[in-house]
Amino acid sequence: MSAHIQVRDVTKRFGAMTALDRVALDIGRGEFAAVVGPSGCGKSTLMRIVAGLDTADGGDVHVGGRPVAGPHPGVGIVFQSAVLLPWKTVRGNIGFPFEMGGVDPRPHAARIDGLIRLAGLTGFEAHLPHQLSGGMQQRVAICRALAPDPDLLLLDEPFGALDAMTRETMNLELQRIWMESRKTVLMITHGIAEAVFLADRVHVMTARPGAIARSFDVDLPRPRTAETVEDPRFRRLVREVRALFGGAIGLG
Amino acid sequence: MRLLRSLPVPLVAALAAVGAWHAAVVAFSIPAYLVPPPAEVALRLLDDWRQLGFHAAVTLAEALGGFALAAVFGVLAAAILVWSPSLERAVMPVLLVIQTFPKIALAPLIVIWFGLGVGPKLLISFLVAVFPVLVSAIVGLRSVEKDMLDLARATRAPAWRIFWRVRLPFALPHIFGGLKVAVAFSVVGAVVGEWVGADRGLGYLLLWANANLDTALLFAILAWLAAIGLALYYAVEAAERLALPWHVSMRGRDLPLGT
Repeated sequence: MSAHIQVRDVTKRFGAMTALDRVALDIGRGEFAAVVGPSGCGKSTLMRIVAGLDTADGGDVHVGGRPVAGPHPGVGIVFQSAVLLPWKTVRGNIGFPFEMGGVDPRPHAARIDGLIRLAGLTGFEAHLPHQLSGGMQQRVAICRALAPDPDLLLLDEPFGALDAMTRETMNLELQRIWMESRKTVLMITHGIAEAVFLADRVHVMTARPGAIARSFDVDLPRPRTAETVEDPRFRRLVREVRALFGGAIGLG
Repeated sequence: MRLLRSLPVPLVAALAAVGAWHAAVVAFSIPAYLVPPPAEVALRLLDDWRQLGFHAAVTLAEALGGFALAAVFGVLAAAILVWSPSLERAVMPVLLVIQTFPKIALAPLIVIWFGLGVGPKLLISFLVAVFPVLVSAIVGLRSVEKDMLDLARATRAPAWRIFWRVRLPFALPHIFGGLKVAVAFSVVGAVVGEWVGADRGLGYLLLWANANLDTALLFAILAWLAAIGLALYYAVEAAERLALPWHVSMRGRDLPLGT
């Protein structure tokens, strides 16, 4: 069986700078993959190319067996900032993909209700974004990405702008949501512990030029909990990943 | 004292200013042809209300027309320029020259070209008012976060829908800031247009009162112009409140000088 996402020798240059240098990785259907690396290593560019928001200068990307040539259906995206429409309520923002796609959201009302419950936003449906905390805004952004029931979830540092405590809670919630929906996930992060905690497979990227240095299978049992971080296997993996960066980064 | 405290502060301040005005006229025995006492101005406002009202209606209509043209054209032009970067590169330097040019200086030329009717007043009013709208709309349409646009693109929405549902709403707070400046400018444009050549309107009446040293009438006209300016400004602000309740509630208190 072929992988859900196949990235083959993808190269991307910005002027004289090579952002991605023959990057290759496979992500299986229903797999939670994390790409971890320092700032500026091109990991966000990689995600944008998978999303069809950017084009590669060399190599190609297949999603579901089809080559990616532009934005394609069945993808939900979450960025570091929630980027909500400030004039729309929580419910209106979650319905954004339907509105933009010219689809009547009413047949999907039950699904949206379910997402609101799953994300713990019950009671806030009619709130405007500026009335919510940063963590809640990001949960709205996750619900929005999940609303059209995509096969693939692309997360670009989804909790990077949140404080450490909210971030831990959000990691647990993301795992819960993922275990219920079993989407294919590609998460970009610079948090090593976060990547090991959440992912089935961690791909480590190094900078200048951006390339996958090594990939690790994470065979820790799920659901992973606060105790998981005490597990010797977890700590060994985090140590091994960190060693690839020379201990210079990744305290997150 | 209790009565005074129950009044709104701006009203108290206005009353105090009128009182000081009256006191100054009496204390320094300023002749009425220089500064008439407030009572005399009030009397002129009452006595001549029909005449003043007629000319005010003319000026208001010209200003509104110029403002409407400026609002529509300013936003449309901004949309086209943001749409096409190559066109923007070509047009922007020209626009900058026009923007820094004192457009009021064009008024005599416009009267020579287009005569003394209502058209040239509209044109001058439009010319003065359009740039604040154009510039603020360009800034506003560009203010949308890249991630937001990417998110919209990822839904594979057609470009016109992304413009209509994302870009334009995000630009509206900026556009309204420009409209508030423009609406005041539009009155300036209308008055200047009337100065250069007209047989009606408050600008025309101003020149007439000036020539006759009728200072009380001059003051009465200024009061009308102030009232028109304020009314237009608050009309735009009311429209903003209707269109952007989310924005107005978010920004809290600010100075009523446009944002």
